[in-house]
Amino acid sequence: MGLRSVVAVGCLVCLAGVASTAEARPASKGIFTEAGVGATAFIRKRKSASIGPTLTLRGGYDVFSWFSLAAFAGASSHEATVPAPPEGEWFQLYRGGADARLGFRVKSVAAFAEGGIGGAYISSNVLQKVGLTDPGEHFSIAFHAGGGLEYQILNRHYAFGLAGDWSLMPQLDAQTNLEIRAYIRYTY
Amino acid sequence: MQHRGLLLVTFGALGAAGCTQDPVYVPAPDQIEVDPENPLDPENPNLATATMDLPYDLAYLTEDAAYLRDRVDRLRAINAALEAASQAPLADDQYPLVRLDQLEIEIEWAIENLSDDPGQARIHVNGANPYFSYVPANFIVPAAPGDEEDPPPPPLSGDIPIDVAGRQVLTGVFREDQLREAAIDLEIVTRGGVNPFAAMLSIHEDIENVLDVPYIPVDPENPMPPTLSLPIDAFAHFVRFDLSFVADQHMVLTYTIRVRETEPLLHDELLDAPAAELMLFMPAEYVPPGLMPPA
Repeated sequence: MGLRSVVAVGCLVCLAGVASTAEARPASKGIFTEAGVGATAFIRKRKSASIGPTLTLRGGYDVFSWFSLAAFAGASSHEATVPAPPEGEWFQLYRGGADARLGFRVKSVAAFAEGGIGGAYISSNVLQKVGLTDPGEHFSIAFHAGGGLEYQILNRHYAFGLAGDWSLMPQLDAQTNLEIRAYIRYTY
Repeated sequence: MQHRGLLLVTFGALGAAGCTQDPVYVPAPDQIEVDPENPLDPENPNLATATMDLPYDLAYLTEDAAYLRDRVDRLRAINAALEAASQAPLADDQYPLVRLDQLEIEIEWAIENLSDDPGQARIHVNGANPYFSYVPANFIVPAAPGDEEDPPPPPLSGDIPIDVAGRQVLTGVFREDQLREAAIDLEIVTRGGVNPFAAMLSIHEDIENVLDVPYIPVDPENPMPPTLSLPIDAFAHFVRFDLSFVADQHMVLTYTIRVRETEPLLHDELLDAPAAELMLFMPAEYVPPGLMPPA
């Protein structure tokens, strides 16, 4: 474990300690929905696709104040930057699945870690040229893991957040992506 | 309630985006290279050609019950309209397996000048539908003794001079509307019997029937006006492309065919599909009635 990992774990432990003593801002708990916008970047074969806009939706249930389960769907759009031809062509990456989120809140700010499994669908075979898809292949299992920070406003139903997720799609040539998004959450 | 509505709208938008006609890219199996100093064909040192069949799915075109039923229904509707207009109905084999309205095709290309000197290149796009292929040389009307022979008619698309600097890579595209027009022209010239010079020089995107095109014979000495009433709904699309690359320097043309289809006409595995699973079209090389193909 590197020095950075030790520092990160130490910070989390400290924050957890503070969380146990600080009084969290009142927030609804139960069924929630989230809508986020952001950007997704290809990490593997990053030269083959541009960073693209992302739209993500999530709906789930807070089992406890520190643990929730959710289903999600997302789409991102990218320009293929493979050697021409073709040139200037765009494709979409759709993802959906289920995930779990662990977190805690200190006053109005919450931190969380999340991870899940689902599926991914790539809309065209334009990246076949660089081996990302095989002939006739569009689907892959997708795993993702990430975390974020969330700000609870005075209205107990609403919160805003910033999250990042790393995802892995084994059937799409083990492509890995990084998604960063800002979101709004409504808890019923 | 407002939030549920927003959620439904957003999921609906995501779903709709996923259902649009996503393009399929069929990469050319080979690039086309012209090297005037080391020509493959010494008689045409500036010319190289390539042919590419589109990978249509045999099972879908010939066995898919819903597709075949839809085809029968469409042909019946076309024939009802033709009979109402006192025109001869189409036979089953006159109604193409691959129609104009089922596909949008684009050819994306890149030319790389491998020499240090600037040069000029041209791309000629010809091809075939399920019935006929178009070969411009077949339309040369033999000259009378002492007269100069007419040049061949233009290709279905292309033949635009492209200046390429030394070591430069240029990209371009034959757009969907250009190749749709080329497919219409192919039908007008072959099943319509119209002179290709006349067909290529006019835009026919709005015609309803091949009979809407003014008839200009290939050979004025031997006019053979078309008798077939062919509605635009029964026009065929390309099943094959014949590309010619003309260059005056050492250049390479690479291309990819981009297809948007309304139904899964192309095989999932495209050119990697087993040959037995691909539709084998055998279009005839069209020769205008009364003219002999060049030797």
